[in-house]
Parts: sequence; structure tokens; C-alpha cells
Amino acid sequence: MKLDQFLKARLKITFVISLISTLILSAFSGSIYFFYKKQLILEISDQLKSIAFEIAKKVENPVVDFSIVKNMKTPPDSYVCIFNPQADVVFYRGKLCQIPYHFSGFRILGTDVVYGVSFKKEAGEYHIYVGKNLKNVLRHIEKLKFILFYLTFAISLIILVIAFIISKSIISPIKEVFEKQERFTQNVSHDLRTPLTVMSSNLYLIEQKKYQNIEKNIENIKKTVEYMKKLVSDLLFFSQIGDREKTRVNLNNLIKEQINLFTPKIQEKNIKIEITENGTAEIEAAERDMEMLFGNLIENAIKYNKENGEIIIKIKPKYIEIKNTGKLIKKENLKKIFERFYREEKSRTTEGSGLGLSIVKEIADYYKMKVKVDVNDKYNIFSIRW
Amino acid sequence: MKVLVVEDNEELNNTLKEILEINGYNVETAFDGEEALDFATYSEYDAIILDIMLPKIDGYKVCQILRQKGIKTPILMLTAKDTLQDKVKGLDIGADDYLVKPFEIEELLARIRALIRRASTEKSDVIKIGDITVDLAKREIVRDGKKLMITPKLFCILEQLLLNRGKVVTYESLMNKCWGINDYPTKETVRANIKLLRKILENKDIIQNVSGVGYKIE
Repeated sequence: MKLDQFLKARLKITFVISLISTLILSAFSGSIYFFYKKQLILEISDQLKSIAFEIAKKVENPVVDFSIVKNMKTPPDSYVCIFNPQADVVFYRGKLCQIPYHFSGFRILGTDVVYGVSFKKEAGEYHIYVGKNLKNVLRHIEKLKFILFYLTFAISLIILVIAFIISKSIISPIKEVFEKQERFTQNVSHDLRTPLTVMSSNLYLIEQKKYQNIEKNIENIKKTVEYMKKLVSDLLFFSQIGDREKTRVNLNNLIKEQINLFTPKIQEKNIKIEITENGTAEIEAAERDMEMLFGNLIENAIKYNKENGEIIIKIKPKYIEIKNTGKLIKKENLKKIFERFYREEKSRTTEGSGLGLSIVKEIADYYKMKVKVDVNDKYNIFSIRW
Repeated sequence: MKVLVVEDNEELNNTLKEILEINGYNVETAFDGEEALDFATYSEYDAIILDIMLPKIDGYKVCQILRQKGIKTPILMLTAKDTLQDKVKGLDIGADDYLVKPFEIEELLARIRALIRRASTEKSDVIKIGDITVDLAKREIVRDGKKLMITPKLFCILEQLLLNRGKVVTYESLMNKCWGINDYPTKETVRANIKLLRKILENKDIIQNVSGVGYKIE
């Protein structure tokens, strides 16, 4: 069903892209066509105009006879007519002009373009008309029209195919987010369904046992409620990253404070902590986000550490590294540990929501910090660089 | 009757164990896929309750491996996923039924009964033998409208015999199904319990000896 939706979206995108590009392309080739046509006619008219003026100039001279026009160079398909003041044709070449009325300047008469000019000779007004039949030119332009049409069509088809291919890369990040979201929802529902089952089945038992010997059942329910509380608050935290006021946070101090908070747990496991500071690490951020980021990393380093283990923290400007001697993460799982709800060896206890490291990643991403996890033969190494 | 509960959430696992025990089942628990395979391969169960999201080996894989090994124990899958694909996948792989979390305990119990019934020769929860009526769901034995008092162990033996009516139930099978992993029953223990059972039923002929092998009810 959902795949279908993505295909639909892809087709829609393809359709819109090709429609828009076809429209643009058509407008473009249309304007080429009209511009070219206009330009061509303009050129021809200019030519006719200059011929008309040349003739006028020559025949104005009273001694010059109209017959010199016969020897003038004129473009193919063109003709020249000269009318005397009585509107009789006194000369023509190429074709007899049919002029409905006398005029000066350009006129388009049928398939002809004609330029008219008048001049004075022997005290009368003569008219010269130079015309050219456009049939050949128009045929030429018509050919251009066809070429443009087919070109537009072909390019549109190519764009259609390209758009379909491109639409995949447009859709795929959306699809990725969608799938991630879906996985997340499923994970959330999974992690809420099991505790719900724990509670409902313990309640069933409490009733069945008529409220006798139910300490263990109450304990189960309490534990589960705690887990759900943590889960819900962690989930809420995701949407609040970056919401608080940002200040310049000194991470050296922040990390030391966080370690202080975990002192009881550190003493319980007798973990040795070593901090090397090569300068001050500072960042412009909401303090709570940084507390959450480093708090989670330190908590994990303690939680998954062994008895008498060690945690080594290196602080440099723009770089922090937290190494721990916990159970080494398998190489193939290094990428997965930042996924929501991922637990390498799903612990049997419900301690933690399984969201810790994904919160770390989310905060780091928000502040454009790079989190990396690496394993050597002794340590799990979490490093943050920005 | 013996059921294996495979669930990685410790609270849920323990709670299910308690519920099933209250309802007269003999329960063993496993917390990951590996454990589940070990248990199911080396011990005999009437049903397995199998969660899907398990550490080490997931529930689908466990189910698949068990079926490949030819173990036909009815499997009820517990799943927190309720998409159609998940259900179909589970059933295709060889699970007999599935239940989506959170489920009603009554439903869980009914489904386990149904699964066990399906695998047995008896198709009803209420069985009559002679003048005795045995209700497997309520775990009661009634004669002439009067309930007979019976210990869970004896009921378990009777249940095993009834579910395999007409077939011989071996000593080993009874030892396996009605005694826990920490008890060490012998043939003598079984014999003693059968004797007690016959006494309670006030009828020696219902349970027949199949000498050297076990017992059966016709």
C-alpha cells in the first residue's frame, strides 16, 4: 500500500516536471519561431526599402530614364513597379503590381510584402513599389516550425524519462525518513506493548490470587511503570532538542559535574576514572542538551562497564573522547548502536529506555558534532568532534 | 502439562510462568533464542510460548529451526508487531498460532488449551470416561455432580492420559510432562501416583497398564 503511494508520488513529480518543462520548451520554441519569422520579414522589408530608395534617387534625375531599373540588382522573387501621377503603370519589372491605393512604407498584401515610396519628377508625384513574394520564405519558415515542433516533442519525451529517474532520488530521502519513522513507531509500540502486557498480566494475577502474596506482582508493575516513564520522557526529549536558550558551555566542567552525579554507581562498581585535559572544550549550545549528551555517554560507560573497570576521558578544544572497558561492541554492530531502541545484548533488566545513544546522536547532529564509536582490543571508544 | 515460556522481558516471563502455574501447567522459562532451542530440543513440551523479538536468535528463527529438527510441539507466538506480514511470516514459518501484545490472559489460556487440544486425540475440554466428567479448562473432575479433590500432579497425569486417549503414554513422557526440572522422578514415583489416582477415581479399570511401557485410557 505504502509503496504504491510512493510510486504515485513519483509519477506525480514526473508529470509535473515534464509538464512544466514542456510548457517552457514550447514557449521557447514558439518565441524562436515568431522572432525568426519577424526578423526574416524585417530583413526582407529593409532590403526592399533600400532598393526603393535607390531607384527613387536614380529616377528623380529628370534625365534618367526608368529603364535603368532593368539593370539593377534585385533579390529573387522581387518586383518593381512605377506609377505616374495619373496612376498608370509607367514601368514594371518582374510582375505587374496590384496596388489597391497609393501608400508609403510597408504593407503586406496577400503573400507579398511591398514597400512604397513616392518622389517628384516633372512636377508630378510618382510612386515606386518594390515587392517580394514571401511564399518561398514562408515555406522555409514552415519547415522551421516543424523542426521546432518535433524537437520540442522529442526533448519532452527525454525529459519525461529523466524526470522519472530523478523523481526516485527526490522521493528516496522522503521514503527513508518515512521508513525510519515507521520503524520508530513500530519500535515504540513494541516497547510499550510488552510493558503493558506485564502490567495487565500482573493485575490479572493480583485479582486471581485474591490480593494474597502479591508483593512480587506489585514490584513488577512498579518497575514497568518506571520504565515507561523513562521511555516517554526520553521520547519527549527528542522533540525538544535545541529548544532551550543557547549559551557558551564549558564542557570540561560539565563532564566533571556529570561524573559527580554518577559517583554512587562508579563507587559501586569500583570504576577508575581518568580525565586528561589539553585545553578547554567549549560550544555554543543549550546546557541541558549537552548534559544529556555527555550524561548519556558517561552513564553508558558506567552501566556497561565491568567491576574494577576504567573510563578514560580526553578533553581537547573541539574534541572529546570517552573510552571504557565495558563489554566490547561487535564490529558489525558499531553503526547500529545509535539506532533507537537498539541494544546489543538485549539486557533482561528494563534499565534504561534503549534510547540513550540515539539521543546522543540526535543532539550531536543538531549541533553539527560528529560522534564516532570505535573498538580496539581493550576499549570501546566514543569520540565527539566539532 | 508442560509449557515452555520464551520471553526476554524478565518481568513478563516470570508473570506468565506464575499465571500458567496457577492454571495447572508445569512451566519452564527461557530468556533468549539459544536457551529456547536448548530447552525445546532436549525436553518435551505440550506447548511453547515464543516471543519474536529475542536476543541472540529471534523467535522466527527459533521456530524455523525447531520445525526443521522435526519437533512438532505446538508453538504460540507472542508478538508486539501486529502487521499482516508479521503474522503471516510467523504462521508460514511453522507457528501454530499468534497473539499480539498486549493480550488478555483469558485469551492466552484459551489459545494454549486449544493448541494442546489440537495436537491431542481429544477435541473437547470436557471429557467423559465412565461415570466421571473431566473439565480440562476448569481443571475439575466431577462424579454425580460432586467435585473430586485432586492434586495438580495427579490431574496432570490424568490429563496426559486423556489427551492421548487410546494411545500409550510412556513413563518417560509422564515424568517429563508432570514433574519439574528439579524433581527426579522414577518409574516407581509414577506408579505410586497412578495408584493414588485410581484410588481417587474409585475405578481401577479406567487407567490400564501397558506393562513395561506405561499406561493408557481407552
